[in-house]
Amino acid sequence: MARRVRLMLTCLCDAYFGEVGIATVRVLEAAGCEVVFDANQTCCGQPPFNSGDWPAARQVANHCRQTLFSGEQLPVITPSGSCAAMVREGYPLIFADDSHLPCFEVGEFLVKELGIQSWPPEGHPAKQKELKVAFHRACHGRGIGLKDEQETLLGSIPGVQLLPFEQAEQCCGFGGAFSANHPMISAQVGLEKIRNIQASGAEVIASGDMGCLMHLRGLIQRQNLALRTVHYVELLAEALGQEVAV
Amino acid sequence: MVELPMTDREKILAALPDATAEGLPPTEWTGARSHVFADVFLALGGKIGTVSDFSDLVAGRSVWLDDDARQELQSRGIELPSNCDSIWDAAVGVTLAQLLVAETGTIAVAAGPGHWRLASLVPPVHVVLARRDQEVPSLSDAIAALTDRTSVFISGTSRTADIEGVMVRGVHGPGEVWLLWL
Amino acid sequence: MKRPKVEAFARNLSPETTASVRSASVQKTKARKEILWDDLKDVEAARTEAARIKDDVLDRLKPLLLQFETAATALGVQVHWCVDGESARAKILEICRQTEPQGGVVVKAKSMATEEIHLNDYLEEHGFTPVETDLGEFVVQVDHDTPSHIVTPIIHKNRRQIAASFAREDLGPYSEVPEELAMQARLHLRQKFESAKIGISGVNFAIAETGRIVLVENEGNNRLSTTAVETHIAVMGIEKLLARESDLPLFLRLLAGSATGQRLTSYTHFIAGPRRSDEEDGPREVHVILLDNGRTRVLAGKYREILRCIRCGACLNVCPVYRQASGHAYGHVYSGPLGAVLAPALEGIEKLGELAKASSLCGACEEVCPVKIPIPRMLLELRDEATQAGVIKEVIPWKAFAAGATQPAGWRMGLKLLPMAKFAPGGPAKQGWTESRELPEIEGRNFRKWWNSR
Repeated sequence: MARRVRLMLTCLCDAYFGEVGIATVRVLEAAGCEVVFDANQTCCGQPPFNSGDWPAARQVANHCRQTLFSGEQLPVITPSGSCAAMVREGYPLIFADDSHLPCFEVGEFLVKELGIQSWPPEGHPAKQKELKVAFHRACHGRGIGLKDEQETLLGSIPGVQLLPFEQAEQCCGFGGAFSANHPMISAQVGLEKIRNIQASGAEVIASGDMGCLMHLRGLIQRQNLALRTVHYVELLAEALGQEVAV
Repeated sequence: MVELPMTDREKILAALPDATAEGLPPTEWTGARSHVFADVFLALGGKIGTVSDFSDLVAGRSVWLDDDARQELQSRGIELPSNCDSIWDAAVGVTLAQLLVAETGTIAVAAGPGHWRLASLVPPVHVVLARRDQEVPSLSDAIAALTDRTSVFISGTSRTADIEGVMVRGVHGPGEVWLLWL
Repeated sequence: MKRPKVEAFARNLSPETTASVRSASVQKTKARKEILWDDLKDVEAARTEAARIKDDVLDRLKPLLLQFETAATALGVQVHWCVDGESARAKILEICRQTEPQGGVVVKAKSMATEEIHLNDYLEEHGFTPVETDLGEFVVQVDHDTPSHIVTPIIHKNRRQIAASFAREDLGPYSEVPEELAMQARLHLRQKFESAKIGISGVNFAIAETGRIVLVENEGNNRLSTTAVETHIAVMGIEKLLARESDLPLFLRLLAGSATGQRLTSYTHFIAGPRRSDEEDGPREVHVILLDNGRTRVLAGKYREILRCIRCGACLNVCPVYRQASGHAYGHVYSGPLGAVLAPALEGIEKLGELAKASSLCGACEEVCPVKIPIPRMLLELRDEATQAGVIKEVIPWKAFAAGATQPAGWRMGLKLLPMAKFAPGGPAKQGWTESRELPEIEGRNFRKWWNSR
């Protein structure tokens, strides 16, 4: 019996990271879920919230609540720890009502709710690919108590080698608007992370947050480095083997 | 009638909400791992000997002894020079320990009659005389036992890492701390 | 466009200084983790309990302060309440003049509270010579500098810089060897300890139950400044209270562990009043200054958890912004994550509200805080407050964003126009981004198109 879930795409995914959304759907379906996509969704409201424009944040968040959290009550799954953190930790700060909405980061949902400990799930043939990966654990995972769910899934893919690197728990320096209003600090923090990852011998930086990826990718491209950046859910989808015809 | 302006004390108290200090729940803490006092003390740079090492340690050096440390040594027939004129000129300060704390490798020394606070602080070498039965397992035990007087809990030598994180001993306090078992 | 203060400072910082700050911060973060996880049976439980104890104290500050006053007075301590820095400075001067009517040398142990009220300059203007005796603070003083970290004041300096300063001050032959530099300072300061009649310190913990105050340090200068003098003046923020002696072990272990990776600092000094008639030495007078300076206002507001702080500095050590910018970037004695909340809370959003933006909200500070202060949440609330007060002006037009994000058709249209963004004129946000990064590009398929074609 397929578990019905709603997909929260996230604004960054909608804008730049379509492949992450596609990968998320494929991964959820492989895990036995039926995915519902509401076309009217836009953004969870985190960008204005973090910047301190809470009236604007409330507007956007209300739209999100109406689109994804009303009507049929389904768990809302998103490929973004920071969006899940916004809904679970941020909404109670900006709304007087005591809403505790069921929003989950995708890896969190797979491991904690569906009990999947390794990838691909049972019954799926695995497509093996030798890959040296450095996993950047995005900071907003702290807000929703993410521990190592993402690494557990990623590291269990046949052929994937998760490499440790220096100061791995440090922020990448994105921080939303921080990247634009403190550009030098933001860039230096990101470049330090990239240097530490390069020193580990990893070929790929995987992360669960598209803000981090956008920032690291931007730095890597400006520096002309040969490092691939990818959302970890894309690697999970790649491990499923089948390609979906467009 | 002239109204006096509020004192600072009155202003601060007026700005604080009323409450009671009664009914505070007890502190619940699983605590820290226990260790062997000597192991931790040595790891902190302390040195250990026995009371028979005392004479060699102070030979030819100016000393300042607390009264009870002096009595303790005299009762064992150990020859002692008198305290030098000023504690600031002493090369070695000698005190008893009040307690030893196994959890943290700490020597507790308290103020009192015949005790100089500066004896464990000013001379570059501090010699502490202690008995093994003075050891208590935890910091909690030690604090509870010594609430009455001003005291210092000494956990190793004076040190700093202010300059580039490089550790230097004996900046202001003693750079050498000897524990001699009685 | 005017840059935020922390960013502007960071841009002018020498790579040498950034390297010094960074390596010290990394080392201290590592030391903290090692000692706490090695020794405490349950670190998380310890932090939770410490947070609860501090909240209890803050809830009952009034009766506990009164209890402290009574108990300390019974020990012979003179307790003074000072509503602000001006009042505290005046009271401290008054006490100094009672001991030394003609002025004189005052030996000082490291105290952020005394920096907060700018005490040294004031004493100098009124005939006293405050001499900082903590090695790091001594270096800061001879350089006419300010500390860049609340625990380790000179992590922004290297040995060459310190050697140059010492040689300039004629403290001894030029040397870059830390041991030799430390010994030069020791010799120089020894004379001050021996002759000074007044010593000023801070307070790490004050115990309401017994009236004792507790000072922790590694060098011995704190003990000397408070023992080898006639008059000891201890300045404490009113929130530095604990209710009972039995609360101390937890806090002493958390403070030493979080600050310097030690079980305990070399000296933990429990002061039970001035020298008693049957004691051989010690100060004849002990004064405690209970300092408000905005704390009662903070206590009544949204940022009250910041008053749990025990000044360990762990949040500074772990903060990516602090590591890049250094403490001086914040322009306040309290810097890093602590300062980003406490500075505007004490001095007002109008003056320092922009510090709340100097954060990527990574949450590492909250993770290492021994009393679990929710700094990221408070930074977000400060941003809200500062935006409404007009102190923070955003680089990104959020109102327009919100309008777009509440109209699905408009939103989808906007997404189609995104590839044009790179041709759009550069506003401050774009300029900031493209300074060191390529603009994001659409890579791969469009989700909605893919979904609709299934």
